Amino acid sequence: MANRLSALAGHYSPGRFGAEGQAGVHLSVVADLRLHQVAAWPDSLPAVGQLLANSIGQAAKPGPGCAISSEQGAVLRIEPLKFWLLNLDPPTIEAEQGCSLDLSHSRTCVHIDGPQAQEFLGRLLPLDLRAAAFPDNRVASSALHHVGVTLWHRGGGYDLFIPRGFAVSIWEVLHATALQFGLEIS
Amino acid sequence: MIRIDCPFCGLRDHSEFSYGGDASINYPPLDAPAEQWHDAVFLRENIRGRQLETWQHTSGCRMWLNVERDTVSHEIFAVWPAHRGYGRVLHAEKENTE
Repeated sequence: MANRLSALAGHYSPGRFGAEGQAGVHLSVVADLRLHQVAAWPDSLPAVGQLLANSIGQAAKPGPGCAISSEQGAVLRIEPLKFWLLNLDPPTIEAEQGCSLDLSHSRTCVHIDGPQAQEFLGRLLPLDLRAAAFPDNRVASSALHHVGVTLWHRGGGYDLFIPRGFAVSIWEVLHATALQFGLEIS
Repeated sequence: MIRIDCPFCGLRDHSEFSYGGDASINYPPLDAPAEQWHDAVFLRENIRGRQLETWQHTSGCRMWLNVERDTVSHEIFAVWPAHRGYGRVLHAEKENTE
């Protein structure tokens, strides 16, 4: 099998950049992303949602703007009739129920954490990211420098899904904005 | 700043949405005379006050919405999915969680 090459390969180097002291923002590129989009019809949404939840060993599908996860993978509810399935292949879905699409190569995922990650993202996205409004396992699609991105609050940090063709320019924005907080890239 | 309470995403800034136009227009049948189509496509009331509009949450859930908005104060009175199937799905989910 061919080796996957990140859209950001060769465009960043690990290290410590920007303001001195403790790094406020950590960035890391998620390697070998496995991402499938599953779309349902209005009438088949409950059945497809149940199928996806069961595929990762969970009881119920995620509600609007939420994610569920387990050791097997994760299901993100990104649109009223669409889910993103992470880290596993989708179950077989009949055409009458819905369809799936492999997006593994179409998105670049950057994981963002650190003590000032929330404040950092607040400079870039028109979203209320405070804990009460955007707790763990919340998902939101929004625009970052006019590019449609999806943000998943995961395990205290954030996964930012960027369309592959915009990955380099968004990375440059992330890098420049993070310098003021002290940036560590791993 | 206009903020629209998207039925799927919640309260979001105007910058995430695209304006779709007047939602109160009833378009004529495809074989209607050109005059009727001219009127439906080009003639607008330019309302001062409450207006029914369509917006798309282009940078969010991509859903088309009907929005009732005051064109002077920008106050928004109601937001609901333009597609009945989406409305049905979201309504059923809300009922299940309450």
